[in-house]
Amino acid sequence: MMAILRMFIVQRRAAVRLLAASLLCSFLCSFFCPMASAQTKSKLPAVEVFGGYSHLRFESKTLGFSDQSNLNGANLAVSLPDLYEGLGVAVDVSGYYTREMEEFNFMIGPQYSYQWKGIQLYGHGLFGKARNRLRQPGSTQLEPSHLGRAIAFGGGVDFALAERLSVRAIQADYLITSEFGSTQHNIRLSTGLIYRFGKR
Amino acid sequence: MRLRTTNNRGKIQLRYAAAELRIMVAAAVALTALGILSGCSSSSSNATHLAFVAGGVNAVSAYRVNNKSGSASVIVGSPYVAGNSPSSVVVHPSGQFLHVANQADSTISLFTINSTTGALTEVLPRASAGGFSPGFMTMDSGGSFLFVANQSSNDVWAFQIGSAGALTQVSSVSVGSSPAGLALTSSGFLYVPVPNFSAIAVLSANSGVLQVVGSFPVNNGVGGVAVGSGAKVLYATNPATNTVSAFTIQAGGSLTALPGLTMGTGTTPVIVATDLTGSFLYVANSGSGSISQFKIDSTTGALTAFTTASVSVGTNPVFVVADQGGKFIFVGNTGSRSVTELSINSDGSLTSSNTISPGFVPRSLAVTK
Repeated sequence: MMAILRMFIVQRRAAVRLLAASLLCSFLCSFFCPMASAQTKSKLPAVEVFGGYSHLRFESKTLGFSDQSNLNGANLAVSLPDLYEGLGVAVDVSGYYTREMEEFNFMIGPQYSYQWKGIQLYGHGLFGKARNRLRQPGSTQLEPSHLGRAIAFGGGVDFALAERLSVRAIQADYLITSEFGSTQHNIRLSTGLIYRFGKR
Repeated sequence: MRLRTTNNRGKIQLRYAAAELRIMVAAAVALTALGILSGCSSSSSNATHLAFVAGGVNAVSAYRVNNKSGSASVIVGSPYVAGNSPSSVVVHPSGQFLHVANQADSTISLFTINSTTGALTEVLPRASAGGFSPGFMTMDSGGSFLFVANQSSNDVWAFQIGSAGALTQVSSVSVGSSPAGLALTSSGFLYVPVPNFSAIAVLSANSGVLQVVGSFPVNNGVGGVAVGSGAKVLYATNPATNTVSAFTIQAGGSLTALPGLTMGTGTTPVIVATDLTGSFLYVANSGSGSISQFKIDSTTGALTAFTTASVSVGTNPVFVVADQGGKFIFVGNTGSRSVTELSINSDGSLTSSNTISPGFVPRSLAVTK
C-alpha cells in the first residue's frame, strides 16, 4: 500500500514538472514565433557578435577596500537585435582582473535597437550572475569568492564601418552586483568591434 | 565609360571618408567616456584606516574604520587564521606588518597587511616567543624592536624587527612571576606589572637590550599600567581597592609613588590607557563594565574625574586602545564578546559610538594610522 502511495506521489511530481515544462515551452513559442516571422521584414541583422575592451569601476569599498577599484577586462556579447520591430535579446559576458580581485558577469536580457543613417543606438536591461574572487597571493587561506546577482541597465552607440562590420563606440552600463552580502553599484564601459551574421 | 569610372572612384572615396569619420567619432566618444570615468575614480571620499582584533581560538578579524565617523566594516575574507589562542596584536608603524602573539603555541605570527584591500597574509614559519605563553606585546615608536611578555616563563623578551617584519631575538630578562602588561616610554624604559608580587618591574630597553632597573611595590595590588603626561608619570590600576594610583618616573626609570594622586574608579579596574596626547586617562573596570575617565594635569600628573565619571561599555572589558587619529578609543569586552568604540570629545570625555561584534572573545586590538 505504501509502495503504491509512494509511486503515486512520484508520478504526481513528474506530472507537475511535465506540465510546468510544457507551459514554459508554449509560452516561449508564443513569444518567439511571431518575432521570428517578423524577422524577415527587418532591416537589422539577424545576429551580432561583439567583442572588445571593457572597463569596470567596481564599488569595492563594500568589500573593505580603501577605495573603489578600476578594473580592466573584456566584454563579449551575442545579440539577436531585431526579433520584433527593433526589439531583441542579448547575451553578455564580461570579465575583469586586477592584482586584488577578479570579477565575471554573465547576463542575458532584452535589447532595443534603433538605426539611423548607419548609426545604431541601443539600450538593454540585462540580468544574471556575477562571480567575484578576492585574490590573496601568498596566503595559505582560501581566497574568498562569491556568486551573486547581477543586473545591468545601459546602452550604446554603434557606427557601421562596412557591410558586416561595425565599431561599438561606447557601451555604458549601470551594473548592480550583490557580492559577499553587500550590494555594489558599478559603472561598466565597453568598446570594440561588432560582426554581423545574416541579412541587414 | 570614363565618367562612370570616375563616379565609382568618387563613391568609394566618399565611403572611405565616411568610414574614417565614423571611426574618429567613435574613438572620440569612447575616449571621452573613459576620461570621465578615470576622473571619477581619482576622486576619493572619506579616508579610512584599519583595525585588527585578535582573539578566540585562532582568529584575527580585520575592519576598515572611517576616520571621521569611526564606522567599522569588516574586510571580506576576515577573520584570518593565526596560531592558537591569539592574545596580543601589534601593528608596525609602517602599517605594513602585523605581529600576533599566539599564547597556546608560544609563537608569534607575522602578517603582511595589504593596505588597499585590508587583507592579511601570514608569513610562515611562525617565530618562537622566546619563553612560554606570550600574553602581551608592545613595540617601540620607530618599529625597530618588539617586546613580548611571557606569562608562563615569567620573562620579557626583546626582538629586533627586520625590514620585512621578521623577528630576531635580542635579549630577555626574568620578572619573577606572570607579567600582566607592558608600557614603554619614549626614553626607553619598559614597565611591567607583576600582580602576584604586587609590584611593577622596571626594565631599560635601549637598543633592545633588556636590563632590570628594579622592582617597585604597589600598595593594594596592580593590574595594568600606562604612561602619561609627557612620560613623567606612570599610572597603575589597583583592582583590589578599585583605584588608580600614580608614580613619578625618575630620570633613571625608577618609580616614586604619588599617594596623593590616587583616584577611585569603577569595580575591578584591570587596564589603563591614555589618549595619544597623554592628556586623558581611561580605566577599564572589568567588574562594572565601564570606563572611568580622567583629565591629566600636564604639570603634576594629577587626575581629575569628569562630571560623568564613567561610561558604560560591554561586559568584562579587558583592553583599551587609543585610535591613531586621536578621535576614538576601542574597548574589548570578553564577557559580551564585543568591541565598544567610543568617541573622544574635544574635552576628552567619551561618548559611545559603535559596537563591533567579531564573533569571538576579543583579547587585543591594534590600529593602523
